[in-house]
Amino acid sequence: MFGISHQRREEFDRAALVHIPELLRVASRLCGGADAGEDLLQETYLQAWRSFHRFEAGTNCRAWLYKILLFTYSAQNRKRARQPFLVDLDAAGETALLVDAPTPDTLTAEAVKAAFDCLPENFRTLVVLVDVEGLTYREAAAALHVPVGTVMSRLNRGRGLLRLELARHAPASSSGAPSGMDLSRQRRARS
Amino acid sequence: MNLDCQHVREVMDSYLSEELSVETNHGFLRHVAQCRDCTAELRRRRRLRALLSETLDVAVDADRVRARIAHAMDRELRSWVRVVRLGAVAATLVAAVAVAYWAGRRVDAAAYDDSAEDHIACALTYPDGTAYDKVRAAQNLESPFEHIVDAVGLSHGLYHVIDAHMCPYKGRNYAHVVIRGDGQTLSLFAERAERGALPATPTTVLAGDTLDVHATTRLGYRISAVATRDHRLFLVSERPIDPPDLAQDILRSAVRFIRGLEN
Repeated sequence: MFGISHQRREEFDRAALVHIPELLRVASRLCGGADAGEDLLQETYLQAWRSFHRFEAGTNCRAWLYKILLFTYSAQNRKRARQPFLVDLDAAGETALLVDAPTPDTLTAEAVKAAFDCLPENFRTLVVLVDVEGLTYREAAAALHVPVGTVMSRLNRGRGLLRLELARHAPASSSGAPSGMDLSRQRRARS
Repeated sequence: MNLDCQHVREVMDSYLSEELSVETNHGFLRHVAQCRDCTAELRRRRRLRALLSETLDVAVDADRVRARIAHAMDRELRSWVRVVRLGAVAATLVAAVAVAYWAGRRVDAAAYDDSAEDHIACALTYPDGTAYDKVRAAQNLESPFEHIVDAVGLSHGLYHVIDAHMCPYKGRNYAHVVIRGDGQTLSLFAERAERGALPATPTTVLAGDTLDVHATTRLGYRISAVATRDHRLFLVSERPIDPPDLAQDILRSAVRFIRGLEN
């Protein structure tokens, strides 16, 4: 038993631990900080270690770990907030606005961070995975266990929403966004 | 493929993510090469991505985190090993209890045969007219069976005790009471139950004391056996004892004596 565990441990180290740097970056970005990211990653790896007997050697361990990471992240968020934050983008014709939303000329790190923080969690996750970490749509779909079409649709909305929020956070003179695009205010008014 | 500005804006992020088909990609590039607005928007979106990466960049120490994770996994592995070890100890204990239970219930398959054989080899060799000699019996009996004859009684109807002694036979050490009368010889054997349970299921006899009697025939002799907590008793006869209550009386007296020793 102990010998088998040692052998499994070596296999796990070889296949899974090499992805720690990348996954740590993603976890920290998703959680908005290194400490929370480390906790999330540790939980992810412990979960992966417990389930390693189900991992098929030779398949994509990185994608498998992403799946566990996002599932764990999502489960943690569910625990934190019993009421999921839902954005009804179809209401008030926001979808059309998102597609057209131009990117402001002047971008600052603060404005980008503020705009990103305004995104709903499921959009934020996809923006991190695809636009920041460079996962393909297919990889992101596999990691989130959703169809590729859902990934594309959520990304469109997330990116559009990000641009609109940027327009709100960017200096007034540099924003090319239509006036009155304060989605946060609109959402608050609707709720 | 000719794309207008609206379409180009729609697929611009997919272009940046290298997710466009070859055909759409060519159309996209052709449009951007000719459209200053879309070129500017493409530049802004590239800048946005770069800033996003920069902004969301968190200083991480992968080596430290790797050590932390390895430590947590080792701890978990150790706890599993502990669980497995505890499980093994528990399984061993269960097995030991099962073996002890099984051993306690092992069966002495030769019990009836040996009593019949010793009856032939010993009791049947007493000459006619042998009379009970209390002194001889006291010399030949050993503790704790010294008083077995007193307990059983010297006479039961036509039957009388003619001798009592310790009778070693095939590794057993019987207290052997020889009884004669009505034209036949009886043997009452008592021994410690060290070889396991008596074979076959007993029949319960209710007459005063409750006796679970194993009745069987071996080598042409009738054997009635009773097991107490630590001893077994055998009454061997050449033919059925008449009346049958007499055999039960002899056995019951002996059982009472043995149970007295055990308490």
